[in-house]
Amino acid sequence: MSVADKNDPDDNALAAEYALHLLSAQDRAAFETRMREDAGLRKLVRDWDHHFHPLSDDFAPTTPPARLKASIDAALFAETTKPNTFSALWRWVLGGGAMAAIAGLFIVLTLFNDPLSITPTHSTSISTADQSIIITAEFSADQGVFVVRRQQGAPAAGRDHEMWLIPEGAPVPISLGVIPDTAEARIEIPQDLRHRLTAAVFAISDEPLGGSPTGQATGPVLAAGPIEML
Amino acid sequence: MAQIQDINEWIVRTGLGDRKAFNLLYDATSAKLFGVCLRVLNNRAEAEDALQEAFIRIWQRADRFAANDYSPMTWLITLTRNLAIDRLRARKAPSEDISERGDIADTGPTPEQAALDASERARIEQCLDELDDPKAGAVRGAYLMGETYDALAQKYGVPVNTMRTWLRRSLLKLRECLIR
Repeated sequence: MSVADKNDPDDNALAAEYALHLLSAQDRAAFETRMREDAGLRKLVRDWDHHFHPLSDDFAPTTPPARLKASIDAALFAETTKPNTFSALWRWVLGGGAMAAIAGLFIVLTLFNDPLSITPTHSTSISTADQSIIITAEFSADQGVFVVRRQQGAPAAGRDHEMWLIPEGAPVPISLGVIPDTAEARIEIPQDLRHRLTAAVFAISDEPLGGSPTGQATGPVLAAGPIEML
Repeated sequence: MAQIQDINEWIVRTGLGDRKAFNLLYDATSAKLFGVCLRVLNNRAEAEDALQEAFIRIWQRADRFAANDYSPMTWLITLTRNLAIDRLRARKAPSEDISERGDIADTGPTPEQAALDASERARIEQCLDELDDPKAGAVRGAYLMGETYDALAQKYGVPVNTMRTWLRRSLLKLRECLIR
């Protein structure tokens, strides 16, 4: 039987404070313990959630970046997802491409002389076999950012280069967004990827403007290579 | 455009492990829920993390949705808002990222806007209007931005205890008005 009486003003006010998330962490936890046992309290909270709901009109809808869905899927379905892109990327990485990319690394590292102000913990350099596209990136796991530099080449007209991260053991590439239309750019690394850079693979693919509409690479993988810990 | 019944069904099917339904749910509601995270956290990177956590939680808890008597958008927004405020409370230093607030909203109708009964909105507005002015503002601030009693007390220049007494009394008055 419910202990919470709808007419108990104290529980009612508590339920409202709980719904608004105004209680201290301790009071909130204590209230949740009571809620688990008490359907009446749960109903009070539910009623408040619905009462307040019309105020949610003021939350302005904003489209999240496309890579976010890929990252959610990677977190939830890591063991079961096997899109074609993955095997395509891995065939590429395990085949000759990676060797070319690693060879490219030594050439391009010498070109590093324009640091945006981050303290890198990792870096990579990837290129197409003919060196027509060369992309370098420096990552700071500590600062949660990376700086990407387009050293050579550009996307075809009406296309974008999208960046992908394949952490060790990850079943699917995770989008890091498209390379901006500037020679270099500083980009946030999603929180959950910041400590998965070591031994990860960095890749770019050819995508429609704004990036893959599906959250997985749809165009050919142009270049890929390992991320090196510094 | 997705209807409330669609969203309801997608949550239920998500609870049964249907990933196609989960994708449809994401497409239909992620913009609104991202709006919740951005408003509360006012920081794009943190809002992205919060949204990711919200959808993971939605996937994990969708099986309990049908039993708990929530309307679908209220359930989604409540869950997301609570996670975003948890993050806000856990934050060590205040973060100000004003550029993210207000000026990046998409236009265009969203399911819950279509479904949100205009009279419901009018009703809570009317009931908030019956409260003394600063108290209605405090309820809004707490709901939309996850403001704490400390923050509210500071904003309205009263001691925290006074703020709490005021607001609790106001919330009970608000409820009386809403169920009248």
